[in-house]
Amino acid sequence: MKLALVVIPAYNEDSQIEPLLGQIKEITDIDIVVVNDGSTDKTLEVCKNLNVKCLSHLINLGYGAAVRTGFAYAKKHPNYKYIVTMDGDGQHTVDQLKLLLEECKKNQLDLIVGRRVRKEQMPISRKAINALADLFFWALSGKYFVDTQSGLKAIRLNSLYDLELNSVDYELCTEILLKYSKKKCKIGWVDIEALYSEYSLNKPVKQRVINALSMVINLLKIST
Amino acid sequence: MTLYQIILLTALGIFFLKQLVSIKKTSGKNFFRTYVWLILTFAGATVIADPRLTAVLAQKFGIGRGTDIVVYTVIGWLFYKMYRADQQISKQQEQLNKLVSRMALKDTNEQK
Repeated sequence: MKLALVVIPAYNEDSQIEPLLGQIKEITDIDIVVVNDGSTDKTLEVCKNLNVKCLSHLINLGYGAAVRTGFAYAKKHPNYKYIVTMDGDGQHTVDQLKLLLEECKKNQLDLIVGRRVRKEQMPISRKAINALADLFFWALSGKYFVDTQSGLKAIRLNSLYDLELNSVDYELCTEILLKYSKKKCKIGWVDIEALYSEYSLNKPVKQRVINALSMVINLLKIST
Repeated sequence: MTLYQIILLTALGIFFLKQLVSIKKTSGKNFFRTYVWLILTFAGATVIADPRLTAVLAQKFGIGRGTDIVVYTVIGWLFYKMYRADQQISKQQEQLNKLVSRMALKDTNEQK
């Protein structure tokens, strides 16, 4: 049994994903699956050139749908202990991945989240949206966690089988946490630095106020 | 009967016939839907033919004016339709997700 399968949802990330995949490939005991979420650039070719497993969505569905496809793949290949989700835009590093897995193994956790506590590079709008998401999570679950929107997570594969996820977009991060905290699973955190390159800052990310509102509505639907 | 009432009744009649054709095309002989539309059309036609009836109905519901009951009913109906449309979109989105995801996973199996 291998230690982990890293699921990387990617939408038009050809310029950023290559170095990340190269670095992860150097770690033994870890496999990668990229979920190409209907990219129109060369993301798929980059994966093929690096000989990395790639699942391709015919159309762009959203972050949550891409991660769920990665999870479905993992469930069909139960030879991994943990599933890790990582962003493909260079926001997460291989060192953070190693740290996450070490903590997970050491503390026998079901879920561990990379908590972006050092946010010097994070734009104010994203800080505000994340803070609101944390408050909203508290309102739904009664538990206060910092950075419920983090995309860096490790999940014990066995705990994923009876988990039904419905989110299509970024609200998936909150949905996973919500369902794990309801199941009374063992959840842990590691502090990481929020890395924002020029590329990720200029990316047309959907995390705008209007999308934050639709996230709230979707989460209300899921949690009721 | 005024010209306005005649136009409205004719429009309602055409709308009802259109609904009947649509029901027959989509669900064959669906008596329940046909009866629902028949009752709604009849109620609409009655109100158009004698608008004073809305005032009587409104008083029974404790609403001041006859026109208000029509407005409240339409708002309620619109909310219901929006709710149904939202549910349908969510359902179709989920089906689309499943389809796209399965196709992606199937492609991987075939690559082996």
